[in-house]
Parts: sequence; structure tokens; C-alpha cells
Amino acid sequence: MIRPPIPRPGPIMPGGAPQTAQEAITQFTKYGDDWQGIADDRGNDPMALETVANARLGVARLTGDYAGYAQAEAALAQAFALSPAGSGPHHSKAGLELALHRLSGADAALAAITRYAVPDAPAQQAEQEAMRGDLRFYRGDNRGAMGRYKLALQLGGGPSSLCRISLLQWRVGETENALRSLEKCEAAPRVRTPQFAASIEMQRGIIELGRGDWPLATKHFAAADRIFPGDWRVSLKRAFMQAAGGDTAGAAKALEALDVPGQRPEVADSLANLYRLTGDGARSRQWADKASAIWKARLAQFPEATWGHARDHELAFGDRRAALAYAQADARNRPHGEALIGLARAWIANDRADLAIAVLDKARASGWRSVELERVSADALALAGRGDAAEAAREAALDMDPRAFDPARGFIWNDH
Amino acid sequence: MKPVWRWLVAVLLLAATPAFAHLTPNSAIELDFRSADVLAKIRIPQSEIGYALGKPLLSAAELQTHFRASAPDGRAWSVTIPAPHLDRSQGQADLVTTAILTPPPGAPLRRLSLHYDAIIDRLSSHIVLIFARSDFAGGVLESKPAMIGALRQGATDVSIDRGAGSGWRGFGAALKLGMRHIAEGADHLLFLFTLLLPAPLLAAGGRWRDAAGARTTFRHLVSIITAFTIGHSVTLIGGAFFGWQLPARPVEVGIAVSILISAIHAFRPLFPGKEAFIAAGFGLIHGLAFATVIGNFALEPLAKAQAILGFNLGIELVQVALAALVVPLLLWLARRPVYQGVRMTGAALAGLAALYWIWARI
Repeated sequence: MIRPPIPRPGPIMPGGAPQTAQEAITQFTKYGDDWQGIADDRGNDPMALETVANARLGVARLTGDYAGYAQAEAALAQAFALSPAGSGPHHSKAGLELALHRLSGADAALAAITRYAVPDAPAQQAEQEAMRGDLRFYRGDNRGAMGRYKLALQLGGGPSSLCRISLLQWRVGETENALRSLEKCEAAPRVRTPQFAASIEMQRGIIELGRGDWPLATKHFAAADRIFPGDWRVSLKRAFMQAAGGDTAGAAKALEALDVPGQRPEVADSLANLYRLTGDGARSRQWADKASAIWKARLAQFPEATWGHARDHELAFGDRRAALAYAQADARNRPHGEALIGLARAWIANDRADLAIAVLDKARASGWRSVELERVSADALALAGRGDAAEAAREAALDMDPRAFDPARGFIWNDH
Repeated sequence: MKPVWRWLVAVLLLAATPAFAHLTPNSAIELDFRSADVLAKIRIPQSEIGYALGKPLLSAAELQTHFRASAPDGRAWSVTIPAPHLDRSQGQADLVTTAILTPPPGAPLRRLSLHYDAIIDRLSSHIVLIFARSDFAGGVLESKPAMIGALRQGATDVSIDRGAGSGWRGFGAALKLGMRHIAEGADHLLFLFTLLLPAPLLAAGGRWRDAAGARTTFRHLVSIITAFTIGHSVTLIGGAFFGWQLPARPVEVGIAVSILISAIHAFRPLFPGKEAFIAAGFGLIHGLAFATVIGNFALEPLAKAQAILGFNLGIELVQVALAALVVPLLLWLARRPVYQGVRMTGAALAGLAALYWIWARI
């Protein structure tokens, strides 16, 4: 089939948008503070508070600090309190609820929007449709999610919808289509902010990493870092690739530089994992303990957003029964492939390969296809004594990623 | 994965212990069930030793305190653990040793309980996988070890019952392995059949000309197949018993080159009338690949001899069955004008396949 050519992406803005993560954090913080001042002055301006919430959310996404989510939540709660019944910042509320993995909260916010007397602007409607797609995606309805994303695209959703389509295509094993959609996503805006351009490179890197092309993945992560320096999530990936490439000391240094006390438990877990793989038990435990304390605090504050991470932390460094409890909670809340695979891992760790196979089958039935699905299936099937099926799963994993069982892959923490 | 690569990868991975997708590295114990004892190859990731114990190594004496085997009546097996060494063949540093487990007098060899708790006594997230790597008498000769079970904190014992065993079961397994190896290893068969392509013809003036008589052709075909069999049998025995070996990659490239030369010969005669010698010569290379399969099972001499016999017989059975299909067709086609086209097309396709394999294997 001949496909129409994808236009070249627009230029990256040399100014007028933050050029580095630090610049973005500073701008978002100032913007949020300014609008908080305006809200305080006016006393009853829900729109000002919504702007504060979105600015705080932007900071939280860039820093990994959950305080930003709490501040956004507080600002939105205040905005709703000031709004007449049936109105309020539902759009932003839905976005926050999704970010915190609270699907029923997002559902309720999106449902409230449908009852508006005056419909939102088309761009907002498109984003709302895309969020409905997200809800379906997290509930394991991949086909339904795709339908919503396409509808969002028709409504003018642009890059946001195309990126979601790409992510979904990747998750159902359509890697080439995913890369093509990402290209379309990249070409959609007339000009690109550095942050947007870097996020595309980051996603490309993740896709290439998922199919075992580590050098190409490394290149994309480096490109993301060059375009929008200082994003800790990109730096984390770069450190993983450094460790997987054999420079574990350099990677440890890079990871320690990303640590912010009391925040970023992902970094602490990555360091605990790296030190464990290099045989340094004392340091590994030190970092695992730090991560554990932060996950515990987050479990109390935002449990839905934490269950998946806490599950992996417990599986590697803690208690497998606790891991199972978190995995079950996460899979109940978001029964999509990733959570189901996590639950399967937890069942395996708790000697229930049969139940692991059942949840993996459920993930497969939803259309989810990933190396991790096959890798964990191979384990579960082997433990259940189904050697041939385990071998088939193992080969399927290797077909998707020739490095699926490379021990160096262990340095890439949370690679699923 | 393409069938031919399946085998190349299988050969490369023969000595590899399957890794788990578990978030942290696992230990593994691979068991070889032999006629008078059981070998247990223990592999512990060095990083996990460091993580669990705060030191880089475990001594044989320390391992000894974590590993026990007992008979169904409770009597202890003797467990001898040689000094472990570090092995980096699997992309990470592993502590490796092969324990020898010997049953007490009168105890069954194929029924035992294993207790093992090194590392898992300290780490709840560590897993120890138990595999049967080879069990000749039980009819298990697989390129990949079969999992018996997994040990972890709180579950440090496993009961093993391998059922009744006999040399015949091992022989049968080797026969099946040989049949599967040749049936899935398209390159071995392609070499042979490419060499057979010009066999019904006579060469003259540097070209393939008229068809030879049926009897001559038949004799020619049989001599090629027999020579190939002799060639690969010699190196199969030498490789398995006397350690003749070359690294897997040059052997695999050599096999692809043998196909390319056969393809060129099928196109224009390079060595007319001497195909049997070529078949025997390249058969030596093919045999080295076969030997790698048997050589990695750590079999005792008698079992190894039985395995080689069964494996070779399996190869021959498939070879003869396919030859029985192809030879009459060749004899029938060779007298018809269309045969020149068949030969040229066959040679071209085989040549292309060989070039691809050479490129892919270098």
C-alpha cells in the first residue's frame, strides 16, 4: 500500500518557549505564583485557580514532585467550591484525575462536561474525547480507545491525539504504525516547542529500546536531551543506557545527580537496582530504603498513582505479599496490559503461575502485545510445566526484541 | 525465528541457563541425571551474592551448608561440591560449580529430594530455578533445559521423580533429536540436494550435457549420500568423543559456503564425477555442527555412544526418506528437456540462500 508522505516537522522554536527543563519549571512556577496572587486578590475567581492548578501540574510533571499534584488538586477543589453547581474546571479536573490514575474521578469530570449548556471550544472537546480514549485504554478496551482517539483527531485533536494513537499502536504491537503516527504527531504543529520535540524523541527511544535497538534508542534519548536539556526522565533513560552499555560507575554518578531527597523514588529504585546488579548490597539497601519511604508516603497521598510503582519496588526489594496486594489494586483500578503483566509477576512471585497465566491471557485478549508480556508468559508457563508453550513465548519475545533476555537489560529499571 | 536460525541460536544457547524475566537476576541449578549419580550445575549471579552477603564469593564449604539431597527413605545423599569459579559467558558474572550427588547404597537414583537455600535464605526476592538439562535414561535430550521447579524463601525443597529410565529411552530421544535437527536445519539438506541436482547429468566441455543412464545416476546419487553420511559421522564422533571442535560461527559459515559451492557446481561443473569426495569433505564440517548438539549434554561414554548412534540414525532416516522422494523425481526429470531449467533454477535459488546465510552468519 502506498502511503501519503508525512510532511516535514516544523522548526523548533528558538525562543518564546522554555528551552530547558529548568527554564520551564521556573516559568511554570512563576506563572502559577502570579495566578495564585491574582486569585487571592480577586477572592472568587475559579478560572484563575484553574490556571494555578494547570501550572502546578506542569511543574509536577517536570520535577516528579508529587507536591505539585497536591497543590493542583487543592487549587481545583477551591475553584469548584467557588463555582456554581454543575460548572467548574471539569476539563482540568479530568486531566488531573487521569494523571493520578483515578479513573472514576476522570469519568465523573468528563460526564459533567456533557451536561454543559454551552459546549466547550472544539479544541477542548477534542482533548476531552482523547481523555475518554485514555479511560478506555486504561480499562483494557484498546479498540474503544482507538475509536475515541480517532474521533478526537476528527475534532481537531492534532498532536495530542496522534501521540496517543502512536502509544496505543505501540502497545498493541504495531510498532511501525506507531513510529509513523509519531512522525505525523511531530509534523502536526506549525512550530514545535523544545519540550514537545524532545518528548517525541524520547518516545522514539522508548520504542526502539522495546525492540532491542539500544544504539538507536540511545541516540534518540541523547537527541531529546540536546533539544530540551535537563528533563530528569530523559536523563534517567540515558543513565540506564549507560549502565546497560557497561559504564555502571558513570551511570551511578548520573543517577545520583538526579536524586532529589524525598522525591523521585524512581531514581532511588533505579540506584538500588544498579547497586544490586553490581553487587553492592549496602548501597542498594540504602537506596531501596529511601525509595520505600517515598513510596509509602505516596501510597498514603495518591494510592492509585503509586500502586504500580510500589508493586515493582516490593517485588525487587521488599515483600512479595505486599507486592501482590498493590498489583491487585492496580489491576482492579486500571486493568490494562501493563497492570495485568505486573499482576502476573506478582502472582509468579507468590507461587501462583496458574493465576499469572490467566491474567496474561486476559492482557493478550485485549490486544496488548509486548516483549514483557511474552517474557513474563515464558516464566509463568515454564513454572506451570508447559515447556513448549514457554518456549513459544520465549521465541515470541526474541522475535520482538533480540535482546529480550540480555542480562544487561536488568539495568533498565521499570522497562515495562 | 527462521528454522535455520532456530538451530544456530539453539546451538549457541546450549550451554546457557535460561534467565527469568523476574525483576532481579535468578540462580539456577541444572541437573544431569547419569547412570550412577546426578550432576548439579549451580549458577549464582555474583551481584546477588554481594547484595545478600556483602562479599563477592561463596566458598564450596559455604555452599555445602545450603545444599542437601536425600533418598525417599530419608537417608542423605553424598553431595560433593568442587570449588566454584566465576563465569561470564552469559553476559554477567556468575559463580558456577558442578556438585556431584551420589545416592546411598540401594537408594533409587531417579527419586530424590533436594534442599537448597543459598541466597534465598537472605533474600525474599531471589528465585532459584531447577532444570533437568539431560536425562538420557529418561529420554530427555533437549537443546533447552526443562524446568522442574522454582525455589524461594519459604519453599526451599523440591521432590524429584524422574520415573523409570532405560538406555532405549535415551536412544529414542537421540533419534528424535537427530530427525528434528536435520528436518529443521534446512541448510544441511539444501547442501545435499544441491549436490544431487547435476548428479543425473554428464559433464562435457565445461557444461552439463546429456543425461547419464539410470543405473549410473542411481549409483552416483547413492555414493553422494553415503559420502556425506560418512563425512558428518566422522566429525560427529570425533567432536562428541575427542572434543574436535571449531567455534560455532565459522562452522555455520562453512556450511553456507558448502551450499554456495554446490550451487555453482550445479550451474557449471566444477568437480564432475568427484561429488562424493566433496560431499564427504563438506560432510566433515556439517558433522562438527551436529557434534556441538551432542557434545553439550555432558553424557557419560556409554550414553554418549548410544546418543551418537541414535542421533546419526535419526539424521539418516530423514535423509533417506527425503532422498527416496527426490531421487526418483530426479531420475524421471533428468531425461526431459525441462530438467536444464529445473537445475538452473534450483542452483540459483540455492546460491541465493547460501549468499544470504553467509552474509547473516559472518
